[in-house]
Amino acid sequence: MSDNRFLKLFTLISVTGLVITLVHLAYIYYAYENSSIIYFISQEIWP
Amino acid sequence: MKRVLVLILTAVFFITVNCGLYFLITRRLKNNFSGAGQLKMIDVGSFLPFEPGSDLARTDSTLHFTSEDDLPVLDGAAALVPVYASVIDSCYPEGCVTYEGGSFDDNNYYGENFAEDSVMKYQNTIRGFNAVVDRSVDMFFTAHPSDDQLAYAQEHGAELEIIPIGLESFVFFVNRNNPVNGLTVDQIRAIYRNEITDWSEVGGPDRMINPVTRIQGSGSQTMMEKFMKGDMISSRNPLSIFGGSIGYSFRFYLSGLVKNDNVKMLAVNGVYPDAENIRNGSYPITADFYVVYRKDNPNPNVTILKDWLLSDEGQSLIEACGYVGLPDDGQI
Repeated sequence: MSDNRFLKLFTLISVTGLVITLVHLAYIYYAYENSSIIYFISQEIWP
Repeated sequence: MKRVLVLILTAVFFITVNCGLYFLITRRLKNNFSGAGQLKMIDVGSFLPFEPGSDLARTDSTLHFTSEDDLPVLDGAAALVPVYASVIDSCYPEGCVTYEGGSFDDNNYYGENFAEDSVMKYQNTIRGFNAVVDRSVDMFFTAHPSDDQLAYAQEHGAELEIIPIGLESFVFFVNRNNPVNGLTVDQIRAIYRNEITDWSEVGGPDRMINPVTRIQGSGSQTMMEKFMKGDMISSRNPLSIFGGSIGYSFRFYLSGLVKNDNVKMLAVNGVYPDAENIRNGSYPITADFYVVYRKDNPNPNVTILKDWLLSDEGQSLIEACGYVGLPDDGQI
């Protein structure tokens, strides 16, 4: 794989992953503020 | 080959992060994503008066309005729908409630699921209270109004009667697998003031505490602010969202309406919030709930209905709904 192709692919994957993660975090922030707290707590995982 | 591995690992990293977030948080977020969604806290269709299958309390009543009477329009908080729907079922004539069903959405924001001429409405705490001030509702069943709501009434020149009609307890709850079964009042306040941040500080496992709050203006949030004497946390560690949560609600809403078996109520100061402990005053966090109406409401049946709610018959109905009636000295 050439340097140029690697850099392009690496940038594409990183930027896509970063954008998806940021959108996901923004959704969590918005939804958490408006969520049913009973449901939220009921789905908590305890060992 | 090494470069391909780097690309794959980069993709796997983001996939892992997002799957982890989904598993730990996103899948637990449900409901209430819009103002309209917040209205649908309960299935109103299960509490319709005069329907044989409705989940209502049916007790004897000597008060029977007729269709010739000026029937007070009733509205209330989600947790009190069974109470005022039972009142209508016991005291009102059949045919005065028209439920049009439909889904709650942003085009059906103000509870138009009930017909305009229906005596039963359901707009929940924030909008329903304002409807009393605006005169589209005669009587509103609620926890004590918040300062903002009282200010709204004052701004609109509405003098209100706020009459206690029953007792309710304010409860704290956690996931049923949380090993902690009780807290003291001081510990709860310390948690919500960010002074206690880990369950290990209150006899639990080594895990962060996530103190969950409610939307401003809701009945339970107003009650919580009163309980905290105005000293709630303003900021906390954002990572606590991954911790073990604690939340609060009114007992009947939690155990009588939502009935989610995966959460459990906590004893407070060693006392569990059951009906007996609320009635005898040993459970430390109880509060009245109220019927609210405008003092200048010209409908005489508003006062008649208020007096009935405070009578033995009215109190029996409130108890039959799963709430606790006022102590004897609170009744007329």
